[in-house]
Amino acid sequence: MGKLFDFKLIFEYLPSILSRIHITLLIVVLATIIGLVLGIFIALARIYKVPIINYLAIMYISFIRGTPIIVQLFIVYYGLPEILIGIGININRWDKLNFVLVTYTLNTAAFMAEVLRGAITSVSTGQSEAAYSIGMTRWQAFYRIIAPQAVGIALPSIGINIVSLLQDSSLAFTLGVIDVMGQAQAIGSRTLHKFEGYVAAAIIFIILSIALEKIFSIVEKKVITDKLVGDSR
Amino acid sequence: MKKIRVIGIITGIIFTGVMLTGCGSNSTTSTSNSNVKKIIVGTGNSYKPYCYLDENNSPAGFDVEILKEIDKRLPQYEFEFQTSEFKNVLLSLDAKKIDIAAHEYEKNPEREEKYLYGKEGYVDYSLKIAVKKGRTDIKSLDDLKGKSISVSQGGNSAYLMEQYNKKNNNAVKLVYGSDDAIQYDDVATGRVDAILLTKSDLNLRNKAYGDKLEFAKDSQVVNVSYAYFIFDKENKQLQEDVDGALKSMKDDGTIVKLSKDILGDDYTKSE
Repeated sequence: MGKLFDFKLIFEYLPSILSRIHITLLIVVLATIIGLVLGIFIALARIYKVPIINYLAIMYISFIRGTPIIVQLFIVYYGLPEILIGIGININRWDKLNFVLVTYTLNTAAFMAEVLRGAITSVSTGQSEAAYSIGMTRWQAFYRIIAPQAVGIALPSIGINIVSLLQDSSLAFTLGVIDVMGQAQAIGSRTLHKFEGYVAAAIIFIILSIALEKIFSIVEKKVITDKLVGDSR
Repeated sequence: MKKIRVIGIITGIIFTGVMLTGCGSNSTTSTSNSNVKKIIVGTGNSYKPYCYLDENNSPAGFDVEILKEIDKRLPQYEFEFQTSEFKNVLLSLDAKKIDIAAHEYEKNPEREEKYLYGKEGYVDYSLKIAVKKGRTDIKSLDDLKGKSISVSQGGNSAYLMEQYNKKNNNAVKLVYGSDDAIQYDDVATGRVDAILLTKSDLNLRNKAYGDKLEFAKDSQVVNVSYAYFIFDKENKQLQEDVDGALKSMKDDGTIVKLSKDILGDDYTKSE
Protein backbone atom coordinates (compact mmCIF):
# COMPACT_ATOMS: atom_id res chain seq x y z
CA MET A 1 0.00 0.00 0.00
CA GLY A 2 1.00 3.53 -0.50
CA LYS A 3 2.90 3.56 -3.75
CA LEU A 4 1.53 5.09 -6.90
CA PHE A 5 3.24 2.44 -9.01
CA ASP A 6 4.02 -1.07 -7.83
CA PHE A 7 5.76 -3.43 -10.25
CA LYS A 8 4.65 -6.59 -8.49
CA LEU A 9 1.01 -5.73 -9.10
CA ILE A 10 1.48 -5.94 -12.87
CA PHE A 11 2.04 -9.67 -12.64
CA GLU A 12 -0.64 -10.07 -10.03
CA TYR A 13 -3.19 -8.49 -12.36
CA LEU A 14 -2.00 -10.13 -15.58
CA PRO A 15 -3.90 -13.46 -15.25
CA SER A 16 -7.25 -11.87 -14.50
CA ILE A 17 -6.85 -9.35 -17.30
CA LEU A 18 -5.87 -12.20 -19.60
CA SER A 19 -9.10 -13.98 -18.69
CA ARG A 20 -11.09 -11.39 -20.70
CA ILE A 21 -9.08 -11.86 -23.86
CA HIS A 22 -11.92 -13.80 -25.51
CA ILE A 23 -14.09 -10.67 -25.63
CA THR A 24 -11.33 -8.69 -27.36
CA LEU A 25 -10.71 -11.55 -29.77
CA LEU A 26 -14.44 -11.98 -30.44
CA ILE A 27 -14.67 -8.32 -31.42
CA VAL A 28 -11.61 -8.54 -33.65
CA VAL A 29 -12.45 -11.86 -35.34
CA LEU A 30 -16.14 -11.19 -35.95
CA ALA A 31 -15.55 -7.63 -37.15
CA THR A 32 -12.77 -8.82 -39.46
CA ILE A 33 -14.75 -11.66 -41.05
CA ILE A 34 -18.05 -9.84 -41.56
CA GLY A 35 -16.21 -6.63 -42.33
CA LEU A 36 -14.24 -8.34 -45.08
CA VAL A 37 -17.37 -9.87 -46.65
CA LEU A 38 -19.22 -6.54 -46.56
CA GLY A 39 -16.07 -4.81 -47.73
CA ILE A 40 -15.84 -6.96 -50.84
CA PHE A 41 -19.39 -6.03 -51.84
CA ILE A 42 -18.83 -2.35 -51.17
CA ALA A 43 -15.55 -2.40 -53.09
CA LEU A 44 -17.16 -4.12 -56.09
CA ALA A 45 -20.06 -1.67 -56.04
CA ARG A 46 -17.53 1.16 -56.14
CA ILE A 47 -15.39 -0.37 -58.89
CA TYR A 48 -18.26 -1.32 -61.18
CA LYS A 49 -20.04 1.95 -60.33
CA VAL A 50 -23.35 0.31 -59.47
CA PRO A 51 -25.88 3.14 -59.64
CA ILE A 52 -27.04 4.63 -56.30
CA ILE A 53 -25.11 2.04 -54.24
CA ASN A 54 -21.87 3.61 -55.47
CA TYR A 55 -22.84 6.98 -54.01
CA LEU A 56 -24.14 5.48 -50.79
CA ALA A 57 -20.85 3.61 -50.46
CA ILE A 58 -18.84 6.79 -51.00
CA MET A 59 -20.84 8.57 -48.29
CA TYR A 60 -20.60 5.64 -45.93
CA ILE A 61 -16.85 5.27 -46.32
CA SER A 62 -16.10 8.95 -45.92
CA PHE A 63 -18.30 9.07 -42.82
CA ILE A 64 -16.58 6.11 -41.19
CA ARG A 65 -13.12 7.30 -42.10
CA GLY A 66 -13.85 10.86 -41.11
CA THR A 67 -15.20 10.28 -37.60
CA PRO A 68 -13.53 8.87 -34.50
CA ILE A 69 -14.62 5.34 -33.64
CA ILE A 70 -15.85 6.45 -30.22
CA VAL A 71 -18.37 8.70 -31.97
CA GLN A 72 -19.50 5.78 -34.11
CA LEU A 73 -19.82 3.69 -30.97
CA PHE A 74 -22.13 6.27 -29.40
CA ILE A 75 -24.16 6.68 -32.60
CA VAL A 76 -24.79 2.95 -32.82
CA TYR A 77 -25.41 2.54 -29.08
CA TYR A 78 -27.67 5.56 -28.54
CA GLY A 79 -28.77 6.58 -32.02
CA LEU A 80 -29.55 3.32 -33.80
CA PRO A 81 -32.23 2.23 -31.28
CA GLU A 82 -33.94 5.63 -31.68
CA ILE A 83 -34.15 5.14 -35.44
CA LEU A 84 -35.32 1.54 -35.19
CA ILE A 85 -37.97 2.40 -32.60
CA GLY A 86 -39.55 4.57 -35.29
CA ILE A 87 -40.26 1.46 -37.34
CA GLY A 88 -41.38 -0.54 -34.34
CA ILE A 89 -38.24 -2.48 -33.46
CA ASN A 90 -36.99 -2.01 -29.93
CA ILE A 91 -33.35 -2.94 -29.53
CA ASN A 92 -32.68 -0.36 -26.84
CA ARG A 93 -32.12 -2.97 -24.16
CA TRP A 94 -30.06 -5.38 -26.20
CA ASP A 95 -26.84 -6.66 -24.74
CA LYS A 96 -24.13 -4.01 -25.03
CA LEU A 97 -21.73 -6.36 -26.71
CA ASN A 98 -24.06 -6.52 -29.73
CA PHE A 99 -23.82 -2.76 -30.24
CA VAL A 100 -20.06 -2.96 -29.95
CA LEU A 101 -19.87 -5.77 -32.50
CA VAL A 102 -22.11 -3.90 -34.94
CA THR A 103 -19.99 -0.75 -34.65
CA TYR A 104 -16.67 -2.45 -35.16
CA THR A 105 -18.04 -4.49 -38.06
CA LEU A 106 -19.36 -1.41 -39.83
CA ASN A 107 -16.10 0.38 -39.17
CA THR A 108 -13.96 -2.47 -40.45
CA ALA A 109 -16.15 -2.93 -43.53
CA ALA A 110 -15.45 0.63 -44.67
CA PHE A 111 -11.70 0.34 -44.24
CA MET A 112 -11.59 -3.09 -45.87
CA ALA A 113 -13.66 -1.81 -48.79
CA GLU A 114 -11.08 0.88 -49.50
CA VAL A 115 -8.17 -1.53 -49.13
CA LEU A 116 -9.79 -4.05 -51.46
CA ARG A 117 -10.82 -1.40 -53.98
CA GLY A 118 -7.28 -0.13 -54.11
CA ALA A 119 -5.92 -3.62 -54.53
CA ILE A 120 -8.36 -4.59 -57.27
CA THR A 121 -7.90 -1.41 -59.31
CA SER A 122 -4.13 -1.72 -59.04
CA VAL A 123 -4.18 -4.92 -61.11
CA SER A 124 -3.38 -3.65 -64.59
CA THR A 125 -6.30 -3.36 -67.01
CA GLY A 126 -4.31 -5.42 -69.51
CA GLN A 127 -5.01 -8.42 -67.33
CA SER A 128 -8.77 -8.19 -67.60
CA GLU A 129 -8.59 -7.24 -71.29
CA ALA A 130 -6.55 -10.36 -71.92
CA ALA A 131 -9.09 -12.41 -69.98
CA TYR A 132 -11.99 -10.98 -71.99
CA SER A 133 -10.12 -11.61 -75.23
CA ILE A 134 -10.02 -15.34 -74.62
CA GLY A 135 -13.74 -15.34 -74.02
CA MET A 136 -14.02 -15.13 -70.25
CA THR A 137 -17.09 -13.45 -68.79
CA ARG A 138 -16.75 -10.50 -66.45
CA TRP A 139 -17.21 -12.71 -63.40
CA GLN A 140 -14.72 -15.32 -64.64
CA ALA A 141 -12.16 -12.64 -65.35
CA PHE A 142 -12.59 -11.21 -61.90
CA TYR A 143 -12.63 -14.50 -60.07
CA ARG A 144 -9.83 -16.27 -61.95
CA ILE A 145 -7.50 -13.46 -63.00
CA ILE A 146 -8.00 -10.26 -61.02
CA ALA A 147 -8.92 -11.49 -57.54
CA PRO A 148 -5.92 -13.79 -57.01
CA GLN A 149 -3.55 -10.95 -57.89
CA ALA A 150 -5.47 -8.42 -55.80
CA VAL A 151 -5.35 -10.61 -52.69
CA GLY A 152 -1.57 -10.50 -52.65
CA ILE A 153 -1.62 -6.72 -52.92
CA ALA A 154 -4.32 -6.27 -50.29
CA LEU A 155 -2.92 -8.59 -47.63
CA PRO A 156 -0.39 -6.25 -45.99
CA SER A 157 -2.97 -3.49 -45.62
CA ILE A 158 -5.57 -5.93 -44.30
CA GLY A 159 -3.06 -6.99 -41.69
CA ILE A 160 -2.43 -3.40 -40.63
CA ASN A 161 -6.17 -2.81 -40.37
CA ILE A 162 -6.68 -5.83 -38.15
CA VAL A 163 -3.89 -4.76 -35.82
CA SER A 164 -5.36 -1.29 -35.50
CA LEU A 165 -8.81 -2.83 -34.97
CA LEU A 166 -7.28 -4.71 -32.06
CA GLN A 167 -6.19 -1.47 -30.43
CA ASP A 168 -9.50 0.25 -31.22
CA SER A 169 -11.44 -2.54 -29.51
CA SER A 170 -10.22 -1.15 -26.19
CA LEU A 171 -12.85 1.61 -26.42
CA ALA A 172 -15.61 -0.90 -25.76
CA PHE A 173 -15.28 -0.37 -22.01
CA THR A 174 -16.75 3.12 -22.24
CA LEU A 175 -20.07 1.37 -22.80
CA GLY A 176 -19.33 -1.13 -20.05
CA VAL A 177 -18.27 -4.17 -22.07
CA ILE A 178 -15.47 -5.85 -20.17
CA ASP A 179 -12.70 -6.77 -22.56
CA VAL A 180 -8.96 -6.74 -21.82
CA MET A 181 -8.85 -2.98 -21.39
CA GLY A 182 -12.13 -3.00 -19.49
CA GLN A 183 -10.80 -5.55 -17.04
CA ALA A 184 -7.65 -3.47 -16.55
CA GLN A 185 -9.76 -0.44 -15.68
CA ALA A 186 -12.15 -2.43 -13.49
CA ILE A 187 -9.24 -3.80 -11.48
CA GLY A 188 -7.75 -0.34 -11.41
CA SER A 189 -10.79 1.22 -9.82
CA ARG A 190 -11.31 -1.72 -7.48
CA THR A 191 -7.79 -1.58 -6.09
CA LEU A 192 -7.18 2.10 -6.90
CA HIS A 193 -4.03 1.02 -8.72
CA LYS A 194 -4.74 1.86 -12.34
CA PHE A 195 -1.33 2.30 -13.89
CA GLU A 196 -0.27 -1.28 -13.16
CA GLY A 197 -3.40 -2.59 -14.87
CA TYR A 198 -2.71 -0.44 -17.92
CA VAL A 199 0.84 -1.77 -18.15
CA ALA A 200 -0.45 -5.35 -17.90
CA ALA A 201 -2.96 -4.59 -20.69
CA ALA A 202 -0.16 -3.06 -22.75
CA ILE A 203 1.85 -6.29 -22.44
CA ILE A 204 -1.13 -8.32 -23.66
CA PHE A 205 -1.80 -5.96 -26.57
CA ILE A 206 1.84 -5.98 -27.65
CA ILE A 207 2.00 -9.77 -27.63
CA LEU A 208 -1.27 -10.02 -29.56
CA SER A 209 -0.14 -7.47 -32.13
CA ILE A 210 3.17 -9.23 -32.69
CA ALA A 211 1.36 -12.55 -33.04
CA LEU A 212 -1.03 -11.05 -35.61
CA GLU A 213 1.86 -9.54 -37.57
CA LYS A 214 3.67 -12.88 -37.59
CA ILE A 215 0.56 -14.73 -38.77
CA PHE A 216 0.12 -12.22 -41.55
CA SER A 217 3.70 -12.39 -42.74
CA ILE A 218 3.38 -16.19 -42.95
CA VAL A 219 0.12 -15.92 -44.89
CA GLU A 220 1.64 -13.31 -47.19
CA LYS A 221 4.64 -15.48 -47.95
CA LYS A 222 2.40 -18.41 -48.69
CA VAL A 223 0.15 -16.43 -51.01
CA ILE A 224 3.12 -14.98 -52.88
CA THR A 225 4.89 -18.34 -53.35
CA ASP A 226 1.61 -19.91 -54.44
CA LYS A 227 1.22 -17.21 -57.02
CA LEU A 228 4.79 -17.64 -58.28
CA VAL A 229 4.30 -21.41 -58.60
CA GLY A 230 0.98 -20.78 -60.31
CA ASP A 231 2.55 -18.34 -62.75
CA SER A 232 5.32 -20.65 -63.77
CA ARG A 233 2.91 -23.43 -64.48
CA MET B 1 -17.97 -25.88 -56.14
CA LYS B 2 -15.22 -24.80 -53.80
CA LYS B 3 -16.61 -21.30 -54.06
CA ILE B 4 -20.00 -22.35 -52.71
CA ARG B 5 -18.35 -24.16 -49.83
CA VAL B 6 -16.37 -21.08 -48.86
CA ILE B 7 -19.51 -18.95 -48.94
CA GLY B 8 -21.29 -21.61 -46.90
CA ILE B 9 -18.58 -21.58 -44.24
CA ILE B 10 -18.60 -17.80 -44.00
CA THR B 11 -22.37 -17.55 -43.66
CA GLY B 12 -22.18 -20.34 -41.08
CA ILE B 13 -19.70 -18.38 -39.00
CA ILE B 14 -21.78 -15.22 -39.24
CA PHE B 15 -24.95 -17.04 -38.25
CA THR B 16 -23.42 -18.74 -35.24
CA GLY B 17 -22.00 -15.40 -34.17
CA VAL B 18 -25.38 -13.71 -34.44
CA MET B 19 -27.12 -16.61 -32.71
CA LEU B 20 -24.61 -16.68 -29.87
CA THR B 21 -24.84 -12.98 -29.13
CA GLY B 22 -28.59 -12.99 -29.79
CA CYS B 23 -29.23 -15.81 -27.34
CA GLY B 24 -27.09 -14.14 -24.73
CA SER B 25 -29.30 -11.09 -24.68
CA ASN B 26 -32.58 -12.96 -24.92
CA SER B 27 -31.99 -15.01 -21.85
CA THR B 28 -31.30 -11.92 -19.77
CA THR B 29 -34.30 -9.91 -20.87
CA SER B 30 -36.96 -12.57 -20.38
CA THR B 31 -38.82 -11.95 -17.16
CA SER B 32 -39.80 -14.90 -15.04
CA ASN B 33 -42.94 -13.41 -13.58
CA SER B 34 -45.29 -11.06 -15.40
CA ASN B 35 -46.30 -9.30 -12.15
CA VAL B 36 -42.71 -8.37 -11.40
CA LYS B 37 -41.57 -5.32 -13.29
CA LYS B 38 -38.03 -5.40 -14.53
CA ILE B 39 -36.03 -2.28 -13.68
CA ILE B 40 -32.63 -1.61 -15.18
CA VAL B 41 -30.31 0.23 -12.82
CA GLY B 42 -27.46 2.09 -14.47
CA THR B 43 -24.37 2.63 -12.41
CA GLY B 44 -20.67 3.27 -12.84
CA ASN B 45 -17.85 0.81 -13.15
CA SER B 46 -14.96 2.68 -11.65
CA TYR B 47 -15.86 4.54 -8.47
CA LYS B 48 -14.79 2.56 -5.48
CA PRO B 49 -16.31 2.21 -2.88
CA TYR B 50 -19.61 3.47 -4.31
CA CYS B 51 -19.91 1.57 -7.55
CA TYR B 52 -17.26 -0.59 -9.13
CA LEU B 53 -16.76 -4.12 -10.41
CA ASP B 54 -15.69 -6.85 -8.02
CA GLU B 55 -13.42 -9.83 -8.74
CA ASN B 56 -16.17 -11.56 -10.72
CA ASN B 57 -16.92 -8.40 -12.67
CA SER B 58 -20.29 -7.99 -11.05
CA PRO B 59 -21.31 -4.57 -9.76
CA ALA B 60 -20.41 -3.88 -6.15
CA GLY B 61 -20.15 -0.97 -3.75
CA PHE B 62 -22.23 1.23 -1.50
CA ASP B 63 -24.75 2.41 -4.10
CA VAL B 64 -25.17 -1.12 -5.41
CA GLU B 65 -25.70 -2.62 -1.94
CA ILE B 66 -28.32 0.00 -1.11
CA LEU B 67 -30.18 -0.72 -4.32
CA LYS B 68 -30.01 -4.48 -3.69
CA GLU B 69 -31.59 -3.90 -0.30
CA ILE B 70 -34.27 -1.68 -1.87
CA ASP B 71 -34.95 -4.43 -4.40
CA LYS B 72 -35.51 -6.87 -1.52
CA ARG B 73 -38.00 -4.49 0.07
CA LEU B 74 -39.94 -3.93 -3.16
CA PRO B 75 -41.28 -7.29 -4.32
CA GLN B 76 -43.07 -5.70 -7.28
CA TYR B 77 -39.76 -4.85 -8.95
CA GLU B 78 -36.76 -6.82 -10.03
CA PHE B 79 -33.55 -4.82 -10.38
CA GLU B 80 -30.90 -5.59 -12.93
CA PHE B 81 -27.61 -3.73 -12.91
CA GLN B 82 -25.86 -2.31 -15.92
CA THR B 83 -22.51 -0.65 -15.61
CA SER B 84 -20.76 1.85 -17.83
CA GLU B 85 -18.42 4.78 -17.49
CA PHE B 86 -19.68 7.58 -15.26
CA LYS B 87 -20.23 10.06 -18.06
CA ASN B 88 -22.44 7.59 -19.93
CA VAL B 89 -24.80 6.78 -17.07
CA LEU B 90 -27.03 9.84 -17.38
CA LEU B 91 -26.83 9.63 -21.16
CA SER B 92 -28.24 6.11 -20.87
CA LEU B 93 -31.08 7.49 -18.76
CA ASP B 94 -31.77 10.03 -21.53
CA ALA B 95 -31.90 7.24 -24.08
CA LYS B 96 -34.20 5.20 -21.82
CA LYS B 97 -31.68 2.39 -21.68
CA ILE B 98 -31.90 2.44 -17.90
CA ASP B 99 -34.64 3.33 -15.40
CA ILE B 100 -32.57 4.40 -12.39
CA ALA B 101 -29.23 6.19 -12.43
CA ALA B 102 -27.09 5.60 -9.34
CA HIS B 103 -23.67 7.19 -9.11
CA GLU B 104 -23.51 9.41 -6.04
CA TYR B 105 -25.52 12.07 -7.83
CA GLU B 106 -25.72 15.38 -6.08
CA LYS B 107 -28.35 17.94 -6.87
CA ASN B 108 -27.71 20.80 -9.20
CA PRO B 109 -30.26 22.99 -10.98
CA GLU B 110 -29.31 21.80 -14.45
CA ARG B 111 -29.84 18.17 -13.58
CA GLU B 112 -32.99 18.89 -11.58
CA GLU B 113 -34.59 20.49 -14.60
CA LYS B 114 -33.96 17.46 -16.75
CA TYR B 115 -34.45 14.48 -14.46
CA LEU B 116 -36.57 13.35 -11.58
CA TYR B 117 -34.62 13.25 -8.33
CA GLY B 118 -35.41 10.92 -5.48
CA LYS B 119 -36.55 12.79 -2.40
CA GLU B 120 -34.41 10.77 -0.01
CA GLY B 121 -30.67 11.36 -0.07
CA TYR B 122 -28.71 8.34 1.05
CA VAL B 123 -25.22 9.61 1.79
CA ASP B 124 -23.51 12.88 2.55
CA TYR B 125 -21.69 14.19 -0.45
CA SER B 126 -20.33 17.51 0.73
CA LEU B 127 -17.32 18.66 -1.21
CA LYS B 128 -14.26 20.34 0.27
CA ILE B 129 -11.06 21.63 -1.23
CA ALA B 130 -8.17 19.19 -0.99
CA VAL B 131 -4.57 20.23 -1.64
CA LYS B 132 -1.08 18.79 -1.45
CA LYS B 133 -0.02 18.21 2.15
CA GLY B 134 1.59 21.21 3.76
CA ARG B 135 0.16 23.80 1.42
CA THR B 136 -1.35 26.76 3.23
CA ASP B 137 -1.97 29.25 0.43
CA ILE B 138 -5.42 27.89 -0.43
CA LYS B 139 -8.29 28.24 2.00
CA SER B 140 -11.31 28.99 -0.15
CA LEU B 141 -12.35 28.97 -3.77
CA ASP B 142 -11.33 32.63 -4.02
CA ASP B 143 -7.73 31.68 -3.22
CA LEU B 144 -7.78 29.51 -6.33
CA LYS B 145 -7.96 32.50 -8.68
CA GLY B 146 -5.15 32.19 -11.17
CA LYS B 147 -4.54 28.62 -10.03
CA SER B 148 -5.90 25.32 -11.30
CA ILE B 149 -8.30 22.70 -10.00
CA SER B 150 -8.97 19.14 -11.08
CA VAL B 151 -12.60 18.29 -11.81
CA SER B 152 -14.28 15.16 -13.14
CA GLN B 153 -15.94 15.26 -16.48
CA GLY B 154 -19.72 15.33 -16.14
CA GLY B 155 -19.46 15.43 -12.37
CA ASN B 156 -20.84 17.91 -9.93
CA SER B 157 -17.38 19.27 -9.11
CA ALA B 158 -17.07 20.30 -12.75
CA TYR B 159 -20.52 21.89 -12.67
CA LEU B 160 -19.77 23.83 -9.48
CA MET B 161 -16.50 25.18 -10.80
CA GLU B 162 -18.01 26.08 -14.16
CA GLN B 163 -20.70 28.07 -12.34
CA TYR B 164 -18.04 29.72 -10.19
CA ASN B 165 -16.05 30.62 -13.25
CA LYS B 166 -19.08 32.12 -14.95
CA LYS B 167 -19.50 34.50 -12.06
CA ASN B 168 -15.82 35.20 -11.71
CA ASN B 169 -14.74 35.66 -15.29
CA ASN B 170 -12.96 32.30 -15.67
CA ALA B 171 -10.61 33.01 -12.80
CA VAL B 172 -9.82 29.36 -12.04
CA LYS B 173 -8.25 27.05 -14.57
CA LEU B 174 -10.22 23.80 -14.79
CA VAL B 175 -8.38 20.59 -15.54
CA TYR B 176 -10.79 17.88 -16.61
CA GLY B 177 -10.03 14.28 -15.77
CA SER B 178 -11.90 11.06 -15.43
CA ASP B 179 -9.34 8.89 -13.71
CA ASP B 180 -8.99 8.99 -9.92
CA ALA B 181 -5.35 7.96 -9.85
CA ILE B 182 -4.29 10.54 -12.42
CA GLN B 183 -6.28 13.30 -10.73
CA TYR B 184 -4.71 12.42 -7.39
CA ASP B 185 -1.25 12.30 -8.90
CA ASP B 186 -1.78 15.66 -10.58
CA VAL B 187 -2.48 17.35 -7.27
CA ALA B 188 0.18 15.40 -5.35
CA THR B 189 2.91 16.41 -7.80
CA GLY B 190 1.73 20.00 -8.06
CA ARG B 191 0.73 19.88 -11.73
CA VAL B 192 -2.70 20.95 -10.51
CA ASP B 193 -3.23 23.03 -7.39
CA ALA B 194 -6.37 21.55 -5.86
CA ILE B 195 -9.27 19.13 -6.19
CA LEU B 196 -12.77 18.93 -4.72
CA LEU B 197 -13.36 15.75 -2.75
CA THR B 198 -15.67 14.33 -0.13
CA LYS B 199 -14.31 13.19 3.20
CA SER B 200 -14.70 9.53 2.39
CA ASP B 201 -13.11 9.95 -1.03
CA LEU B 202 -10.07 11.68 0.41
CA ASN B 203 -9.58 9.09 3.16
CA LEU B 204 -9.80 6.25 0.68
CA ARG B 205 -7.42 7.76 -1.84
CA ASN B 206 -4.90 8.70 0.81
CA LYS B 207 -4.90 5.11 1.97
CA ALA B 208 -4.29 3.81 -1.54
CA TYR B 209 -1.79 6.32 -2.86
CA GLY B 210 0.25 7.20 0.16
CA ASP B 211 -1.22 10.06 2.17
CA LYS B 212 -0.18 12.93 -0.05
CA LEU B 213 -3.25 15.18 0.09
CA GLU B 214 -5.22 16.86 2.85
CA PHE B 215 -8.17 19.19 3.14
CA ALA B 216 -7.09 22.81 2.94
CA LYS B 217 -6.61 24.17 6.46
CA ASP B 218 -9.62 26.01 7.91
CA SER B 219 -11.49 25.59 4.65
CA GLN B 220 -15.27 25.59 4.54
CA VAL B 221 -17.42 23.03 2.82
CA VAL B 222 -17.78 24.22 -0.77
CA ASN B 223 -21.06 22.51 -1.47
CA VAL B 224 -23.37 20.71 0.90
CA SER B 225 -25.38 17.99 -0.72
CA TYR B 226 -26.55 14.46 -0.35
CA ALA B 227 -26.33 11.86 -3.05
CA TYR B 228 -29.60 10.87 -4.68
CA PHE B 229 -30.89 8.34 -7.16
CA ILE B 230 -32.10 9.82 -10.42
CA PHE B 231 -35.12 8.71 -12.44
CA ASP B 232 -36.76 9.50 -15.72
CA LYS B 233 -39.41 12.22 -15.35
CA GLU B 234 -42.12 9.81 -16.48
CA ASN B 235 -41.24 7.33 -13.77
CA LYS B 236 -42.93 9.00 -10.80
CA GLN B 237 -44.28 5.76 -9.36
CA LEU B 238 -40.87 4.08 -9.29
CA GLN B 239 -39.32 7.12 -7.60
CA GLU B 240 -41.97 7.08 -4.86
CA ASP B 241 -41.54 3.37 -4.25
CA VAL B 242 -37.75 3.63 -4.07
CA ASP B 243 -37.99 6.62 -1.74
CA GLY B 244 -40.36 4.69 0.51
CA ALA B 245 -37.90 1.82 0.77
CA LEU B 246 -34.99 4.21 1.36
CA LYS B 247 -36.93 5.92 4.15
CA SER B 248 -37.57 2.63 5.90
CA MET B 249 -33.86 1.75 5.55
CA LYS B 250 -32.90 5.04 7.13
CA ASP B 251 -35.34 4.51 9.97
CA ASP B 252 -34.15 1.03 10.87
CA GLY B 253 -30.46 1.92 10.59
CA THR B 254 -29.65 -0.23 7.55
CA ILE B 255 -28.02 2.63 5.69
CA VAL B 256 -25.78 3.63 8.58
CA LYS B 257 -24.74 -0.01 8.89
CA LEU B 258 -23.96 -0.26 5.17
CA SER B 259 -22.00 2.99 5.36
CA LYS B 260 -19.90 1.68 8.24
CA ASP B 261 -19.36 -1.67 6.53
CA ILE B 262 -18.47 -0.38 3.09
CA LEU B 263 -17.28 3.20 3.52
CA GLY B 264 -15.58 2.56 6.85
CA ASP B 265 -17.50 5.16 8.81
CA ASP B 266 -20.91 6.75 9.11
CA TYR B 267 -21.00 9.20 6.23
CA THR B 268 -24.77 9.50 6.08
CA LYS B 269 -25.04 12.85 7.83
CA SER B 270 -23.40 16.05 6.74
CA GLU B 271 -21.03 17.78 9.14
